[in-house]
Amino acid sequence: MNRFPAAEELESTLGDPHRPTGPLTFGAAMAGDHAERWPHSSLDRLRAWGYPAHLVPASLGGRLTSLEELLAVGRVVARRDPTVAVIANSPWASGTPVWLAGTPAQQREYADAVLRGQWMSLALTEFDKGADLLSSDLTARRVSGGYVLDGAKWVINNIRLARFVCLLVREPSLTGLRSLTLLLVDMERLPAGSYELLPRIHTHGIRGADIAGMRFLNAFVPSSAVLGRPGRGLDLTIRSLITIRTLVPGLSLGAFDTGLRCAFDVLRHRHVRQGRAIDLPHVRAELAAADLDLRVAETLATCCVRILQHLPALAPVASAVAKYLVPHLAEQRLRRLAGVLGARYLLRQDHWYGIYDKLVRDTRLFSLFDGSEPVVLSSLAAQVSCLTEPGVDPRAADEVFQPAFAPPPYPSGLAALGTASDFDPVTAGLDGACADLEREAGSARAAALLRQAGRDLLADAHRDVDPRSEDGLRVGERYARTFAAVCLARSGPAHWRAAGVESLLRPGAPPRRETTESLFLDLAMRHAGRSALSLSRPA
Amino acid sequence: MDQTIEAALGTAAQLDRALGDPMDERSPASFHAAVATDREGRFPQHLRDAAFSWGLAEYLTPAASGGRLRSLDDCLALFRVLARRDLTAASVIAAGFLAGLPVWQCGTPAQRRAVAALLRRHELLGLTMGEAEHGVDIMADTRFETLAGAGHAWRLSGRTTLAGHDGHAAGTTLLARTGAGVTAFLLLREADRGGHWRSDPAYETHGLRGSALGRLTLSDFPAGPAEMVGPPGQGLETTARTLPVARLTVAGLALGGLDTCLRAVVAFARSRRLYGAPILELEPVAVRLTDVYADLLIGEALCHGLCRAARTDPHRFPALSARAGDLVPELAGDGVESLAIVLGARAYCATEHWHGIVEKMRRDVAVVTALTDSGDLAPAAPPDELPPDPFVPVPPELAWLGEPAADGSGDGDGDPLARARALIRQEGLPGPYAPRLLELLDRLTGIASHGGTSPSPGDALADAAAACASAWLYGRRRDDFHATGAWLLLCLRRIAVRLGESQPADAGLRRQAVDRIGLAHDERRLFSDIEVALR
Repeated sequence: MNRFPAAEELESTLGDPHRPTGPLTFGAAMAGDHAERWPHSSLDRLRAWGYPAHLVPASLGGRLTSLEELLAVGRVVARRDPTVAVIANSPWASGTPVWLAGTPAQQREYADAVLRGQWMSLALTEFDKGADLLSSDLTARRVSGGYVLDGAKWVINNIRLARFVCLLVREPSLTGLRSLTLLLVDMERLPAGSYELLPRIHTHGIRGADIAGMRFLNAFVPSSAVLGRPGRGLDLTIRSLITIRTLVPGLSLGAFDTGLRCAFDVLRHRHVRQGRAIDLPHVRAELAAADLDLRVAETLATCCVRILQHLPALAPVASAVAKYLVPHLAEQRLRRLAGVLGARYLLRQDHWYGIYDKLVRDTRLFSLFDGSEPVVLSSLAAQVSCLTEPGVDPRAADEVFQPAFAPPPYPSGLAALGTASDFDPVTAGLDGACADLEREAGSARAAALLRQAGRDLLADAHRDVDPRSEDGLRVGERYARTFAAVCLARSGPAHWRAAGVESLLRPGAPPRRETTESLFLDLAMRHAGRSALSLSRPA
Repeated sequence: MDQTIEAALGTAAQLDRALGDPMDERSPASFHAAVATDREGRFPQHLRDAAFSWGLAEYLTPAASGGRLRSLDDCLALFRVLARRDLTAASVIAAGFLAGLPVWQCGTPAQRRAVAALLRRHELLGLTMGEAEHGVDIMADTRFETLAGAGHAWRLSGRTTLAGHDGHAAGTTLLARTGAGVTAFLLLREADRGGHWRSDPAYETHGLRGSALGRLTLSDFPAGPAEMVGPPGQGLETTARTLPVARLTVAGLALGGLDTCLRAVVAFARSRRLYGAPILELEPVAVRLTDVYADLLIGEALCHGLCRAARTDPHRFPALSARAGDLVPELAGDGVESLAIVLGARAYCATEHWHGIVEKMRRDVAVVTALTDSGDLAPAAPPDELPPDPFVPVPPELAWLGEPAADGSGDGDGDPLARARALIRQEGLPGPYAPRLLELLDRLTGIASHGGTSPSPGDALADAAAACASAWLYGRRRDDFHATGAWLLLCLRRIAVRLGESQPADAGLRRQAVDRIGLAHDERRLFSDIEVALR
């Protein structure tokens, strides 16, 4: 997989996160979390390094050309403090509708604001509406020269600090799927008194973030604020979410990375029964299984972000797979490791300033926002019929699995990004992936599992399944795991590829003993350094 | 289930009613207060005071020592309803109870009187949890010094972490090495005359934030025969005998936390509308709620089975507890995680929906679960590795509780799975569930009698299946849900799923379960196989 000089430079610039004080250290992360404080110093440090430029496409004056690099850069920050990573990356994520469909003027203005270090918001959700965007109560009535807004948005990151807000509104004059419009609202130009910022919402994780709501009171915005076309807000929102969902895994990976390292360190120093905890077989097995999950998650995240740029037509599937599996693996594994840590998990001042518990709380958000688990699994179930499409050429995905990947330009390369996939060249390559596995010693079981998973999934694809039903969610999960297993079989390093495929297709089953010991020793060796566990791991 | 269990739950219901409506923000026993004190890292003193004012001290004191605690069923039920309000307060009280167990089991009459008096003053013992450096490895920490020529007199020095509110426990029971080996001591803080007992500032904690793990340092604390609990050199054995009760207590705490989470999420699922209907009508939501409800019933049946074993077959109680005791916290932990998915963003907001109690419970249940055996580092000991009990050669091991109450279970002897199967074969069941139940009972009977000598992960689930069958046999005439076998089928299906065997969807069974959940919610009853009215 690619190496990213920017990510490595950032990691090096930020220095040792174990320092007692200073921006983007574990100590600062915990102090800010405890006080529910906005992480000023850490964000200032990132701005000084030039982080905002990595959020803006190169065509608009920034340095963003590769989303894979953005994933790596976000991970560097998230491994120190997921709260800072969420805030720091939000100008890019909030701007996805602008990058995808903004006019040149809108893009220019938005990009300049990001480069100046201003904050942005993406305001989609409303109180009691959840994923049902079509039931939005915030209305935009068309008037001469623009719109008049009424209603409120809720649980919006940075809304009280934002210069620009990408706002999803319902036009009462329109109906059905084309009743929603996205507006780029410039808060500096919004008439005073035409809106109110609602109180900050306290959260259990990412406690330093400023999450709140906003109410519009007959607020006028000009027609020039429309992003894309009026009435096409739902389509643009879905495409934006697909983009964001593909990048969220970077945040999970960072938190997972530190959580695993922290658990390893605690257990290495903990003595039980006249020996080290880390020498107990089941502790080694748990750590090895966690490391395997981290590798699987990392490989999958990389493949899916490449798919977004190389095969955007498949991104509706790939983004859902990444958004479901990577946060899920991180969350579940951190929870299991907490059990291994036992009562030590309870202490706040102990083990790395108590960062472990914060990571557990913070990672829960990544499963929730911009598409919860049921939402993305439903989305996959709704697309599974694309597997019945005849004549799909698996070679279309070959480039995704190559060690080096040269991405098409961003964001113009995403023109083919739709709201659903009609074909899936990754899963179409399942037979080839199985054949490759069968040629490797010790991989026959993984190959057999993958073949069976492929057969089951194809049967699902021919069934009429309600995506929102329990059966639909199961189909969605099968699709996610099979898709991920193919990605792994085609790009994971040989020495743990089969184990990874098995862990995906038989979740919860422990890796084989010899694999466990090999993974554990590898983890122990990598732990000797203090850089992120796999930031620059060669393929 | 039997009359003792029903009586215990009845007592617990009285406590719950005395504590008032948990949704009333003015109440010190409210969810609002639980979350508020948690956010501030304060101990929920008002809840503790309210529980003790009701008379909790009497139920923490065994009947044999003048209290009203007659069975472990009482402990389980009381900790369960306390935990449903606030796991922080419940855990601290439970820790105090567990710290006193060696005294009730092996202490002198004077020691028992001292602990009873302490409880009646609304004070608690702290529970030692070992040094942070060594975790639960008690062999690795506390040290001792023997006074030369003083016979059985020691001066204790060492450090330990003390689970007890604000680091100011009124005393503790701890282990120290003496010449005879590891010996248990009861130390009361009031006995300190010369600064030998020092409480350092508490550790700040993530979950159970207000419970405050204190740091206790003893410097030449004098101890003699009056402080010794049990014979010298038998401290490990004495303490090990508390482990089965500790597992049961933790299970009760976990059940209480899960009850509140299910209650909160049911309310949410009924009121929250998505795509034009309450989300409770979405199949995946109904499935999650039903599964959690089934897990709760399984956990309850298992706990009650353990309580009953403690009464009727105390020598088997430690082994059964070691096999199955950890399953209940595991079920609760998984259940809370599943419910949080239904709540979605609401679960993440600290003050939304029932004041954010679900996320607090989620954190606290995780911590309580981790405390069961202090994590996976100390896996449950196989029964044959449990320390022998040479000083109590004749049962009952739990004599400290007083005379066992009349059982009244009426469900006979023998394997409950086999008896349930025989009964269904002979008498049949009204409704459609008999064939499926028989199939599951056959399958689970096979697992339960696998005959392996080493413990297997399926053991706990086999025990859970047997406990469910036993509960069903006792209550099968209670209502249609039981009479048709739906109750048992609901539980056994979940157990089969946890054993890795997928089960076909059963919309009818699920609908019945959802209706029962709704009814228990509306009528403010504990989510239990027994009707327990709450506030």
